[in-house]
Amino acid sequence: MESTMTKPIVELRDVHKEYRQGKLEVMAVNGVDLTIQAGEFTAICGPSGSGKTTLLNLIGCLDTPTKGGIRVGGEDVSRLSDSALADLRLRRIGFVFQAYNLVPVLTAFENVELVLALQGVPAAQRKKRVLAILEEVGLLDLRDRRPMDMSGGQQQRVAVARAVVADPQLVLADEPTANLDSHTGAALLQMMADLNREHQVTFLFSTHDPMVMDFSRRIVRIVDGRIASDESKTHGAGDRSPSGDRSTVAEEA
Amino acid sequence: MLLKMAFRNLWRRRFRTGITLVALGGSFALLLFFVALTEGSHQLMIDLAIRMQAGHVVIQAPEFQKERSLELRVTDPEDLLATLGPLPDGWVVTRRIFTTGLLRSADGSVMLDNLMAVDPVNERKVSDVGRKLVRGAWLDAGAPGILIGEKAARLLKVDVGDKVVVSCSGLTQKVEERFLVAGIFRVGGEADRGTAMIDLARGQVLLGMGDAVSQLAFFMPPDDSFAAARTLRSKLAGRPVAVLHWQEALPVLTQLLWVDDISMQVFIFIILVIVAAGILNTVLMSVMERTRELGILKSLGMKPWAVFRLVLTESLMLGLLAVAVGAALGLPLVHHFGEVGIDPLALTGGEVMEMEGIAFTDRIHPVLLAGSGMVLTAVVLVMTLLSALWPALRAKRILPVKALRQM
Repeated sequence: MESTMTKPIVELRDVHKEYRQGKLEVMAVNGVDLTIQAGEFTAICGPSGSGKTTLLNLIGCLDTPTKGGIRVGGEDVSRLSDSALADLRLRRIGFVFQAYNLVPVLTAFENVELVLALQGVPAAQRKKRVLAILEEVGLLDLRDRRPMDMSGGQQQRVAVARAVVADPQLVLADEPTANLDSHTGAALLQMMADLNREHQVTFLFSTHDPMVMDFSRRIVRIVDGRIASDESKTHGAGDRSPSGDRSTVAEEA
Repeated sequence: MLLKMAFRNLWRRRFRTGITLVALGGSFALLLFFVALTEGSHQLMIDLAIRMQAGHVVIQAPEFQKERSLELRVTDPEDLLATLGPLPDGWVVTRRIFTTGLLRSADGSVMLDNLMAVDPVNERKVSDVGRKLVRGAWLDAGAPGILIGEKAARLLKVDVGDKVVVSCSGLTQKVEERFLVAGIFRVGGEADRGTAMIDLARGQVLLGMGDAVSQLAFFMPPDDSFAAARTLRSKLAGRPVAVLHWQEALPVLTQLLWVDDISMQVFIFIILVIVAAGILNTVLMSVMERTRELGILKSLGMKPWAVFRLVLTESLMLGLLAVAVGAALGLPLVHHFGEVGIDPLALTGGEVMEMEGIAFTDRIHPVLLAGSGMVLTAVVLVMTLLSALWPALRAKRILPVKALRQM
């Protein structure tokens, strides 16, 4: 665990992102330097419009910087084609969105399977891995349900399962608890904390939810597109919880 | 997985997909039916025209096509037939003389614009007149019988067994002869007034033609006609006769069929444009509604061309289903009317369609050729894919970061 902690997964050097809004030019990200090491459980927080979602999109290769360099898993992503970026997202990054964003026509099982299918993993192997991860997030019994037949918390757990099923180097979660009540949000965070601790999955959140910050071991505050502070803790809230509690809490979500 | 998603996406808006399917399937059924109707009416027109005026292949004097005169004749028909040798099974050859004249009775006269002297045995096998006798009987070889149309009989106030006089120009002089009305036919249109048939041998004597005829008409299975024309042409090379395929012998009909084909193609094109607009609308709506979802698929790592393929696959499925619905509606329709036929008068509002003295009064039996059905299916599917190209390209170009901002 210690050795992986020193390997940078994400490196941002003097990253700028400028938007045009009508005639106005908005500097959403303004000279950010940031390094995320493997195995981190980090929150980027700040008020609305501070640039945290833009920063997450840049790290997730969903957007390209106006200036500066971004390396993901050691690879410079600034000059990659759309197709190469898609491939990089597919193989190295998992996403959890605020609005769950599951594919409505697919069941829970199929939503999780989708990423593996896109990677070209054979069906038998896919089935094994999807069933294992669904069991881990406590949704094995709901595997044949479609998103519309699941609660918000259940959908978000499917989204987390989808994000981690292909063993990505990094999971980006944009306000993952924003649409959940506090109890469900806590259960979800505990589940992600357990995945981080047990499988060394690197999590990077954008949030203004104090509970997410409480669970995180590193908090990067961003104001007006610049990093205002970068604090690390020895423990997050999830670390203090006994690991045996996880499935119980997850089921409640 | 792509197929599963595409299929389920299609049924997300059941009502819209259903309406699109009914519209597209209905259009396809309509296309199948009209193509079959056109084919059926063409076959009927060709069949009637060939029976009355030509054959699948005809042999006649080279200039006869331009001017139907007795001088322009085939002087040695039996020698020509001997040169050709035995005819293949299923072939019939009939000898004909075409001229014009006047038909008189005690009560009146009518102009004959198509007085035919025909080989009574073989002409009987192919003639439309033989099938449409309303009274009396077919010509007997060597007998002074004449077949006349129903209108002519009414004008002349004659019936079967009555005497009539035929006056016409023979090869060298004006001639006149009495005939007995052997049969009265109703083929529809002007032919019922201006067409009459007499026995060939009598005609040859009356007209001073000797052994000569105006035309040797060959009948055969229609698919053999082009090859047959080539064979006859090569066997008779150097002889002073023209060997014509029916398309050359009946240029007006050929042209009419060609114009009709063009109109049909324009009609098909218009229907296909409507089909394309329907598909474009459905697919474009579906892509625009799912911008966020397609953006999510791309953010998860689905490659741009895979998104493109997903949309095209959905459209292709829509097209295939529409073809299936169309076939389910159209084929029974074609089959039913293929069996019972359609009265051409119902299509023309009671007006008899007539061309070169041939009236098309027989029931039209729509025929769908396998080739036409396959071509139509392929065209509809290609059209479906083409009309889905733009929505699919739009989907391919969706930027995940913008799509995710949409609610």
